Amino acid sequence: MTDRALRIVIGVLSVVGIGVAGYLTYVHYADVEPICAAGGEGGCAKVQASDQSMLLGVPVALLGLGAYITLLACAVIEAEWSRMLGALTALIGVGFSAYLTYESVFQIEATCQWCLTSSTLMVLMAGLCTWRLLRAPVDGARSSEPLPD
Amino acid sequence: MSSRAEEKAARRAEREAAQAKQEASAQRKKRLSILGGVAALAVVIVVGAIVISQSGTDDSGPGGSAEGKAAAALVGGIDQSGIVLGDPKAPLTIEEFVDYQCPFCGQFSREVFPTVLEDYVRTGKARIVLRTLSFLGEDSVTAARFATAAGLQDKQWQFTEAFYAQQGEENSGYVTEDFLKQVSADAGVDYDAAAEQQGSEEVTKILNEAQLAASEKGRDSTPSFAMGPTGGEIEAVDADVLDVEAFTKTIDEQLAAAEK
Repeated sequence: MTDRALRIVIGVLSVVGIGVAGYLTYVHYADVEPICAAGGEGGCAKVQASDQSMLLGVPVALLGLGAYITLLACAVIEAEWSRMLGALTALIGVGFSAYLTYESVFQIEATCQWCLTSSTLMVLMAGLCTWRLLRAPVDGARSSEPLPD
Repeated sequence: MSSRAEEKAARRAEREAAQAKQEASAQRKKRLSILGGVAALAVVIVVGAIVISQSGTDDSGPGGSAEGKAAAALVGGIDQSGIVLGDPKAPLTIEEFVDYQCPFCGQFSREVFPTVLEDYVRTGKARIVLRTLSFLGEDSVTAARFATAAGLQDKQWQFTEAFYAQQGEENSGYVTEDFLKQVSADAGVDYDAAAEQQGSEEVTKILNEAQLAASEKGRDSTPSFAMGPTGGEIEAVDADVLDVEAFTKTIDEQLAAAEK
C-alpha cells in the first residue's frame, strides 16, 4: 500500500469515527437515549450514564471526537510530526478503548455498539498509523536514484 | 580499459549497496526508536487516564456511589416531568404509592420495576405517576420532601432509584444531609436547589395531593398501585407487586382495558 493510499484509508476511518463519537457526544449533551441495536435493553444508555463515561468532567465521547479529528488532520497533513502525532493519538485511543471495553463488559455489565465500533476503529487506526510511521522515509535520506559518475 | 571500467563500476555498486544497507539499517533503527518513544508516551497517558477514571468511580464520597448511579441510569432517556415518568400520551397510567423508607418499595424498585420500565414505560405503553407518602417516621418525611424537590428538577425518578439502591434500615436515622448529598450526586440532582425547595409550598402541595389520592383510592400500604386509562378513571389495583410475572400480567390486563 502506498503512503497516499494509507493516508486515504486512515482519513476515511477517521470520518467514520467522527460520526460515531459525534453522535455519542450529541446524545450526551442533548440528554437523549442513544439508538441501541445490540447489548440488551438500555445497554447504551447504561454505558453512557456510567462513571466511566466521564474523564475529569469531560465526556469520553467528546475526547474520542477530538481524537478522530486529530487523526483526520494527521492523515491530511504529510509531515514527520503528523505521522508521530497520528500514531500517538491512535495508540492512546486503542489503550483507553481497551480499558473502557473491559469496564463496560465486567463493571457496567452492559455493552453499546457505538462504543464497540469506536474501539474496533481505534484498533485499525493504531495498526495503520504505526505502519505509516514505520515505513516513512527518514528526513534527509538519500533517494534510490543512481549517483552521478 | 574495459576491465578497469568494469572494476570501477563493480566497486561503485558495492559501495552503493553497502551505503544503502547502512542507511536502511539506520532508518529502521531511527523509526523503531521513534515508535518506541511514541508508544511509551501513549502508555504513560493511558495509565494516567485510567487512574483518573478509576478515582472517579469510588463507591463513596461526594462523587456518589456506583450502585446509586447505575440505578439512576435505568430511567435515563425517558420523558420525565415532576412526579410523572413516561410518554404523556401512553395509553395506561400507573400510580405508584410509596414511602421512601418502606423496604418492600425498595424491593419492588430493585426487582420488579426494571422490567416494568423497559417493557411498558420505555416502549410508550404506560406512564408512571409517583405518589409519595410518608407515614413510617421522620426519615420518611425528610426523604419525601427532598425527593419531591428533586422532582421540581425533573429528576425525582433518578433520585428514587438511587435512593432505593442504598436504602437503609427503617427509622435508623440514615436519611442525613450526607446521605441526601450522595443520592443527589448519583441522580444528577442539584443538591443545593433541592435543599432550598424541600420546605416550599409547591412541595407541600404535591405531597398533599399524593395523600389525597391515597385516601380516595384506599391506598394505605406501600408499595401499592392504581391503574387506568390516561386521562380516565384511575382505580386501585391489587396485585402481587413483588412478583414480576404476576405484576406484568396485571399491567397487561389493565393495558388491554385501557386500549379498548
